[in-house]
Amino acid sequence: MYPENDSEKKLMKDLAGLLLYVLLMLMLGIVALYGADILISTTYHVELSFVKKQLLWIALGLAGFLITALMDFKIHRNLAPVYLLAAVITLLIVFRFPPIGNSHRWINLKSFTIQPSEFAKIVILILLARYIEHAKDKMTSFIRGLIIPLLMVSPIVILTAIEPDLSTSVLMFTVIILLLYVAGTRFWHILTLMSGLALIAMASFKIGILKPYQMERLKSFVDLWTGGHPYQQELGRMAFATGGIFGSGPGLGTIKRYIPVRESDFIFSVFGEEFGVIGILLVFVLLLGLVNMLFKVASRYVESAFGRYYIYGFGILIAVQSLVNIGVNVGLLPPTGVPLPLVSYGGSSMIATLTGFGIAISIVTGEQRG
Amino acid sequence: MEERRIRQLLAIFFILSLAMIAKVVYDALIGAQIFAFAFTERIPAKNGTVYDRNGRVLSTDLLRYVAYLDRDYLMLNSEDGEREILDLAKTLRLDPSYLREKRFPVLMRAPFESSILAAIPSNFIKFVSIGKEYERFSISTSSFSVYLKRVERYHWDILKKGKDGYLSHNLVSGERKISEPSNGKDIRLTVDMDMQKAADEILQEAIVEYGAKDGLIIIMESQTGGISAIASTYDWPFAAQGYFEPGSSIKPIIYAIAMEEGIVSTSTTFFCEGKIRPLEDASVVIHDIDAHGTVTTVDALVKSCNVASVEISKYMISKIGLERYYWWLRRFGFGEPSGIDVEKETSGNLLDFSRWYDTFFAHLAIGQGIGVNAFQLIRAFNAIATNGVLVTPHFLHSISGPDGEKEILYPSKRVISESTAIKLKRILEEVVERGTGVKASVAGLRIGGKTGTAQKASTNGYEDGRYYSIFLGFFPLESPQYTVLVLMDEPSTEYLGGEVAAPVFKSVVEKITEIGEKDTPEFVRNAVKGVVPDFRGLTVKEAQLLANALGLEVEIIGRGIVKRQDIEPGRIYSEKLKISLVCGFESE
Repeated sequence: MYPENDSEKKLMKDLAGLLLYVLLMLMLGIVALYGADILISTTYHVELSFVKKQLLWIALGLAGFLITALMDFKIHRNLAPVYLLAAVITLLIVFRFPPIGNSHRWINLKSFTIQPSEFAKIVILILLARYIEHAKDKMTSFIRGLIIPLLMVSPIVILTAIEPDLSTSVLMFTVIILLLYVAGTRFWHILTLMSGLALIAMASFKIGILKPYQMERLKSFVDLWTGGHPYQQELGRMAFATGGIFGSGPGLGTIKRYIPVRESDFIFSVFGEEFGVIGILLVFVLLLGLVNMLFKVASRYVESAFGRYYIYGFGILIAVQSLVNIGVNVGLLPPTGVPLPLVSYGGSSMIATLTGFGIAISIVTGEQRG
Repeated sequence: MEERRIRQLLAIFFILSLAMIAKVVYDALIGAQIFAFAFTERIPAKNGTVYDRNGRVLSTDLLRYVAYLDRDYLMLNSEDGEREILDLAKTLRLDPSYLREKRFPVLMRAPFESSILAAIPSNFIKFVSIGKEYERFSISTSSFSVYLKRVERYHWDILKKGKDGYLSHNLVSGERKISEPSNGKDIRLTVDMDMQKAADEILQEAIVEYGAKDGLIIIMESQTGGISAIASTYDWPFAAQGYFEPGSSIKPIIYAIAMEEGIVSTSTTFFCEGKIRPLEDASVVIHDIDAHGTVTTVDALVKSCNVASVEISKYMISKIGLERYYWWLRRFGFGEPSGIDVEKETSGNLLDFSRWYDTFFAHLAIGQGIGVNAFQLIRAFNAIATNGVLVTPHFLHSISGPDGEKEILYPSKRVISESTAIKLKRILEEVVERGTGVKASVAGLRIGGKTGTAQKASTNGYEDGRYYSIFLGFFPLESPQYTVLVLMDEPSTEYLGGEVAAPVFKSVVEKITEIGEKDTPEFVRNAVKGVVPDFRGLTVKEAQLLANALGLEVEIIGRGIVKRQDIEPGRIYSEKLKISLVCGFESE
């Protein structure tokens, strides 16, 4: 279609765009965290602890990004079984550590904690991309197109679920299903599986397998539609109301002080209060722009099925996780603890996302080289 | 396929994003604006209050506290919610199933918050929210309550409350927002509860004294039509919704029509032999109590002669015809609601002239064959008291609004000439002085009145020994202040209007003048009739009160306190007099 150097130019332009989107998201995250921070700094004289630490996480994340971006992506394909093993082991290790808030999600290394499930998300993408590359022609089969890939990644999803971190495991499951759908799994196969799972879920709800706090969250979601207002989301809505169109200004939000986990799960509300509808539109522009660019680059420049599906999966992960987080913030979804990728405060999430992004870049550049 | 599915996903992400943006925009602009005011207290709107003439409360919304249980919160926060709910139900004597059924069941209502806090066990208080509401209370100790209820309903559009208001407090900015509740408007009635109480007492005594089944007394301001009191023993608004045959009490109206049409004059004579056959070829005979012999028009009405009345009615038919006769009756307000502001007023029963049978005129002349409600009757009779003007009987005096009370103006119309009315007034005075109504006379007071005795009619014709005993009167004669209707239903000791209703009327008049005197300020009591008083130094209101008492007409110029009067104090007057009063304020 294009002359060789023209297409080369186009690729560089698209890659630059991709990097720009990510950088803008990171900057937006710092600005948002500044808002979450400034309150503490004025009240308790702690100076920008979130921003400072987040900058460190970004630095570490960028280091991971550089390493993976410069590595040959095929290494990951070959190491996939090792990654799976590592993910399972780390997800088992978390049970050795005392729970935080009834949940074993973290490995505590004194100076910092690691959340293995964040890295496990990337491992899932690598595993699936590899599987799809192998089974490209058999995806229309119920067993080989849906059940086998699901079983393959199920240890990660199940271990995450019993940490318990139900929201992350549901998120993983959604990403898996969507990626398989793109790879050609039949829609009605997915539908059949979903209805089966829904039946099991209803049955377990009846006999009370769900934990009390899970019941509570589900109830709070039901209440949301029947008139009740879960506290956090109520505050989120209040933040948007105070923010209005133009926001109350950087660092000047007031509702935010009442919002729990404002630095991570509810960073979007904090940003919304301070930058208003305008700021929120910007978030969506960056998010959809980034995802669109990932999809475009994958379909346009990536020949190998592994590479293409990895990038698709990465885009789907970013999109789904962001929309779930924002959906919770705006009160359209029940309160769940899912961070906003590239924006929310948190080391594991930041490093895992940036490292994952590095793999995507290495795929694009590697394809071109080889 | 892969590309198509990727595009599908992108589209889904885009649509979900739009939904979330829409939600944020909604919250930012509308949805959460009120929501941001975390502590919102409802200020319940209030229906208007009904006052009597002197500002006493007749009916009002009273604040009450309501305790609601947050059932789910209780269930969630207690070990054995089910048992606690049973305990609570037992303590408060409530049905446990009611507490289980509703999300926010009402535990109790009380006039004070403290009584709720005292009644509910302390361990439940945290699950209870206390709200405010209004409950309507109306006086019930007076027979007026029967009408009050219907008057209120008639004017409910005025009294009706609008939206609740709220007071909200933004916990972040500290900003407070108040939205006023839209309360209903207050109204003032013409009813004077002092007079009402007196009328109630008089009626109760009369019922016992005459062994009557029921009774009704209406006291109406002659010049305005405002009802000052309505005592009644019926448990329904008989005066507005029931009708009866007026009997002889309709005669002043028949005479008024005849005099106005020039059919009779005060000197026309009639011969009464005690009975009359209205039509030669009909079997109907109308009887009289006595054979009155030769009587003038005046005597005929004074003695309530049936024969003369039937003859007058007969002349009327031949001279003016049925249609115009009917037109006159309609002009006096028969056959249509009087306009009284009581819900569902009846039109009474007045046959259209096309359906008048041949001897109808004779029955009409003695108040038979026509059904009137009490307000229609007192209104028509009152046209003589007002020198010919038909007023609208009413209860609603004024409506309070943002800029003070607004008095309601009611339609009135002239129905007969002043000269005819004055002639009739004199005759009606003689009714009380020397006629059927002597038992209504009060020493030192000029009263005009008319008796009526109406045999009660049922579907089987007239019933033996069952009567309405009626008296209609007004006083003082020159410029009547009050017009009164007394109706006794099935008195058993006596039955004639002059024997039963007239003495009741007398008690009413005596009581009213007593009340009036008690309320009369010194400057009015000290004034002498026929001598121009000194208005200077009085307020406009006081001056008008004094002028009314003396039957003087005053013209008020300016505002404030009377400074000058154009006719010197002390001058003797006998005719109608109009005095101009120039007013001003101290500083001027």
